[in-house]
Amino acid sequence: MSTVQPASSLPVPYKTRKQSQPKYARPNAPIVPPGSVTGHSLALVIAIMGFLASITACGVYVVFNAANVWTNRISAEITIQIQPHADSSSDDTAEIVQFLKGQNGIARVTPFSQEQSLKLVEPWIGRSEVLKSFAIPKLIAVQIDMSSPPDIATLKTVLESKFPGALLDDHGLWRNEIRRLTRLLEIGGIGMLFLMAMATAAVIVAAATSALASNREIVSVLNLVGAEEKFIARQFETHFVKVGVRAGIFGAGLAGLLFFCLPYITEGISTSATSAAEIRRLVGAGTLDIGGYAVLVVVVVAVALICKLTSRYGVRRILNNQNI
Amino acid sequence: MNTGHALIRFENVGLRYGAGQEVLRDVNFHLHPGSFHFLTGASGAGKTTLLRMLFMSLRPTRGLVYLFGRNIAKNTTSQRADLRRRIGIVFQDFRLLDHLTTWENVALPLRVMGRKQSDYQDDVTELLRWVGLGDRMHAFPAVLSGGEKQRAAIARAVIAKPELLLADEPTGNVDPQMARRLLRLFIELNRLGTSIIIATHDYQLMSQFPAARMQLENGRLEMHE
Ligand SMILES: Nc1ncnc2c1ncn2[C@@H]1O[C@H](COP(=O)(O)OP(=O)(O)O)[C@@H](O)[C@H]1O
Ligand SMILES: [Mg+2]
Repeated sequence: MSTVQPASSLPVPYKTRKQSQPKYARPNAPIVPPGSVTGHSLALVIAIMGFLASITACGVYVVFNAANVWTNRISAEITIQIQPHADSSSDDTAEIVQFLKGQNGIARVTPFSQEQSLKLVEPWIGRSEVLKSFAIPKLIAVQIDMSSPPDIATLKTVLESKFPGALLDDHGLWRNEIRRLTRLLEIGGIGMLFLMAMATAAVIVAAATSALASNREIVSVLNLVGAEEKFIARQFETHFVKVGVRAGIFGAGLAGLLFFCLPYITEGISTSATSAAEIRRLVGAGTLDIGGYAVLVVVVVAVALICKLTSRYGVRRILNNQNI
Repeated sequence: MNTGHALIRFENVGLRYGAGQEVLRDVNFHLHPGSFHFLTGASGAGKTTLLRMLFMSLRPTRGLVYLFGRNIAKNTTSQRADLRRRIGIVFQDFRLLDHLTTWENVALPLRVMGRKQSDYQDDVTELLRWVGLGDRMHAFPAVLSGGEKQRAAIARAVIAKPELLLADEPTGNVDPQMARRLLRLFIELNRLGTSIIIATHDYQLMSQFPAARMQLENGRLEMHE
């Protein structure tokens, strides 16, 4: 029987020999194979969620912007209506214009002739000679100098007491109505985004659960070589983040494209050129500005974050519940 | 008996699988750092079971196990991972990952520790050459022979220079010449401070190195120093 003597020079790592070696590892070869973690259906669901979330977020953004433009435009202008007296044909218009021009904070006073007033209501009522015989209130549009606006309330009381039949409309009703509507849209939009985020998270947790189950042997070997939970979770997380970023970009990109094409689509759909123009005048062209594209980027980042955090949470929760 | 700085300490340990009989009972022993032991016993005596308890992948059904001075029953998962990184283990069934190359399998413990590949790639390659897998580094486990897998599993267990090496029948699939070579690797590791427990029933292997023996019989452990 021979007894083995400890080797005098053992070329194991306990002795460092500096020389360049061929590489036998693919750089960062995934410890968990990507195909076993995420499938096409998960990518599809995330892409669809990204698309819907983009539409919702950008929709809210566009409406919010349009509403801001309206309210600003509306606040910069007040209207004086002069009810025609039934008994007299006397006309206070010139005096009222004179009075208004004398006030502080007024930029411009534009009285509308009856001709012009009729033109304003034409899109709704149509053109008819009959209308001319109706007593249509006279209108004076007053442009306010927004840098030093007058006290509208005082102006209203003074004007209305001085000229009976004159009505000052500061469009406050409209402004409030628009604000209420946009607030409602915002809340609805945020609620929908929240639901989409929840659905995405649930899908990812389910996918993480099955990914862990189908990679049980890998997880167990990683445990055996002393991997921290964090490390194991990260092996899965990276795949989910990759899918999240790709699917998110795809979904948001599709939504962006849709918004980009919106003017052509509305033109194609609407029956008359005027109604398309009308829509554009009301809500803008519907295309996204820089802020809108930033919203799309935020959606992609949010989708990736949801993928990262929920997959990490899902994997770690399961690992925690497994004892070995 | 001073067991104050024992590396491993078992106190009245018993283990049963499910509702079966106790496979191990009243196991009491302690090992000092730097020791070298053969764990012997017939097939089915409980060698693998004892090693699994040492590796914290099996909880004793009664009694206490201390590793590195710590009661392992009180470990959190993170502490257990921590301890496992100080232990190398060679499984009877190797447990290599099929989709990683031999090289990547061996490098796995270092990767798990967060070490950079450029820092350890020479070590991994050198160790693989030493265990005779120099030309199998890029092969996947599916195409390795039993002996080659065994050597890859041993390389993975020792690559991180563990404080304790547990090997379950590490020479079961290799020829006597390679068995001697692997034994030399274990001896060299031990010389550098690693405590070694080799479960084996290969008497030819044991005769080649005068190490203490732990004998399992009828569920009880006897120490032959
Ligand atoms: N997972 C298990 N479930 C039930 N019984 C087991 C299990 N593993 C091992 N045993 C039993 O425990 C005993 C000891 O097995 P083992 O530790 O593998 O012995 P050895 O490694 O010495 O051959 C055997 O009788 C075996 O049948
Ligand atoms: Mg066994």
